[in-house]
Amino acid sequence: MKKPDTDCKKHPDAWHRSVPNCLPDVVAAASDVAEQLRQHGVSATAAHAVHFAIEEILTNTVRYSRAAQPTQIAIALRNDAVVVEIEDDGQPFDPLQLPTPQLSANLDDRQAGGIGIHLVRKMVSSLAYERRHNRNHITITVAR
Amino acid sequence: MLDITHKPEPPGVTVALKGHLNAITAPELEQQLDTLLNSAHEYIVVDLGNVAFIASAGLRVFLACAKKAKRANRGLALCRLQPQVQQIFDLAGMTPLFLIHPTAEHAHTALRQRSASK
Repeated sequence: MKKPDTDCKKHPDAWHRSVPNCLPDVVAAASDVAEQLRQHGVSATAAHAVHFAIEEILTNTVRYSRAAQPTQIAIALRNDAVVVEIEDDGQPFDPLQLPTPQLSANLDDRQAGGIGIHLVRKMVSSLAYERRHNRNHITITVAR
Repeated sequence: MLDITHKPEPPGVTVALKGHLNAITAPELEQQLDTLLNSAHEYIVVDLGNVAFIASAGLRVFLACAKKAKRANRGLALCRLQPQVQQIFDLAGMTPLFLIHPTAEHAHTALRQRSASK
């Protein structure tokens, strides 16, 4: 992964972005990446899944991780899939260890939280997590 | 990023959304829906026909609104969900929790009948 940058707006290149840990930057970056994927011929369904995954994972980072540096995103287009690597220096956060939320069909019993990462796991083809050098590394793959 | 417009259609109101419903825009929508739930409108129809993206923050707003509407005995329906938005509702298991209609007219008709039968 490239050396971290401090301002994603200087890097319109879709394939590596440094995203400041604030919600407006996160929301804009997720939307921009999806648009650029569509422009590169990625299906609307796959671009939407990447949009959703980046927004949910980075929103989580902003709210809970206490990351000091901007989150790094690297995107690779393979023939069959989009691979997105997300790296931050926040507290350990393994999305694979989150409990599956209760998706009760009863409105009164239904809890509001914990659904975002659960949906990400359902929408992507694969999701992997590693903690290396005090950094979280999340890799998602979405079929094109 | 999310335009929110209200169109009173007594005894209900249509709330039309345009844009992305995400962590930035969800709080404003929740505030406006709360205000409408405390108004004289008997029901709310939320038109999602121009919403291309919904994040979990948006789902939470609708879940909270549905609970508040139930407690206040007000009607709430959603309409014109685009395929990507419908997919999120389905994966979240939220589709059965809502009255979802293909058009605003269908939603108003259903809620008007519900309101009249109370």
